[in-house]
Amino acid sequence: MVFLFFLLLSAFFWLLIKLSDHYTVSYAYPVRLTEAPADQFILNPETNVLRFAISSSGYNILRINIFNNRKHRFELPLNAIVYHQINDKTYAISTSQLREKLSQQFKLNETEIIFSDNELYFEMEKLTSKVIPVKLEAAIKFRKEFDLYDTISYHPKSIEVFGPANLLDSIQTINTSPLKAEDVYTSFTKKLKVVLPHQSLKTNTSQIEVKVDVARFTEVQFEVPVHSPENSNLKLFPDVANIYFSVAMRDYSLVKPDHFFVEVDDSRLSERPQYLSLRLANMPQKIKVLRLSPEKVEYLIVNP
Amino acid sequence: MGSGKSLVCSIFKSLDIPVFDTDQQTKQLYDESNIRLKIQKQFGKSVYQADGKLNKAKLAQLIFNDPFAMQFIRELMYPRLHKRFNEWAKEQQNSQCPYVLSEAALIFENDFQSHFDFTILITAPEALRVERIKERDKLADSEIRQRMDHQWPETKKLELADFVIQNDGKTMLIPQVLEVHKKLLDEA
Repeated sequence: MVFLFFLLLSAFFWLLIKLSDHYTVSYAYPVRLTEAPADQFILNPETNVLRFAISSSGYNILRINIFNNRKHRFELPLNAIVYHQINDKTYAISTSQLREKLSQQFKLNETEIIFSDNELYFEMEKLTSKVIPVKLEAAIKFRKEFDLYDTISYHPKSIEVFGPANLLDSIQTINTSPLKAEDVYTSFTKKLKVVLPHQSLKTNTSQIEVKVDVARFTEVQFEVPVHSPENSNLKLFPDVANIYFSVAMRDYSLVKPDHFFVEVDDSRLSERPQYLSLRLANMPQKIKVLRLSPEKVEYLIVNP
Repeated sequence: MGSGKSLVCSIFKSLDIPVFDTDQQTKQLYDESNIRLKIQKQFGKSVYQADGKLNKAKLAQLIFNDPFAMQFIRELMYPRLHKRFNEWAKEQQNSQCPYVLSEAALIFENDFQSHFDFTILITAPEALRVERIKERDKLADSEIRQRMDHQWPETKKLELADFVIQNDGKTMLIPQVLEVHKKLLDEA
């Protein structure tokens, strides 16, 4: 027992002596390049590997190996580091500017980090751009008697999207994130995210502002005369029709019977049909016609 | 009610047949001062509005709920209407029309068929009549039922009518009217 105790104690001291020695260990961490300029596209953003060695005490090496995941991927946002162009597509990042970042991450002196390569290389391609119409994805359920006053308005109607030319050519619309709402009875404004259909596409417009104008509607009935074409000598039975329509309460007083013009469709008169169909030739813009009653009328052709 | 009498009469009018508009004549009678006084004496002044016009809704409520009130109006109005019709019909003799029509409701119910040479029944399914009244008069179902209760069933009227015109929304009206018109011309 005493022997075992002293054996462990001596092993412990041996470990302390070994850990206080100086070691140099190589590391290779994958790098992910992000945040390319809006008009450029990083080709293979995850193929780079940052190779470096750490020359430090055994304590530090042990700590780094225990507390740092070797599979950890370095995120390098291009908008936060300096890089320069080598040729048409190739760019280089000086590894020296990563020294501070690594020293902070590993809690080491900057001198303890030795980079294998002076520069990291990557390729970026200039993107083409296309102005693409935005398509709103909306599924709104309104409370009874309430509905859209007009169409849903949104801004901008189209956005500039950057991406490889062949990909852009295949895209006709850009969707928004879905606008879902239930039991809606008041107007509202909402910002929806732009959903790019491919990760290599980019845009400077990330949100679309949507305005949903909601109004309370009421059903109205007007009796209006049915007009027959001029000089047609038609006598219609009945010669009046009822128009049933819904109109926003705010517009109710603005809609008058004489804003409607109902006429018979006499295009098939030469075939002597039993009935003539009615059609609504004119009506106010901000109404929704529900039905016309009757839809067809009997007629007599009378002597002029 | 709601059978489409006015629509059928408008077709007869287009054939140059004069039509006595009982509804219009009744409205005119209600506006006459002596009639107004009698009605107000019976039902109170509120049956007429401040502008002297009849409060139709109020009078309808009274007479459709009270058989005696209904009887009072019948006895007051019908002889006068009949007189007016006869005077009007005489006037039409000068216009060389082959016959005249009177558009009226409740002919059989009031046993007035004997006042005419022929009767034409405009008939329609009850559901369709209710729908038309709702559309035209904006009455509640209960009010429509109450008024229709004063009418005979169509089957009973069919037995008494000389001519029947179906206005069921499916059968064409004009051919039926022309058929009746032809028969009436033959009889004239």
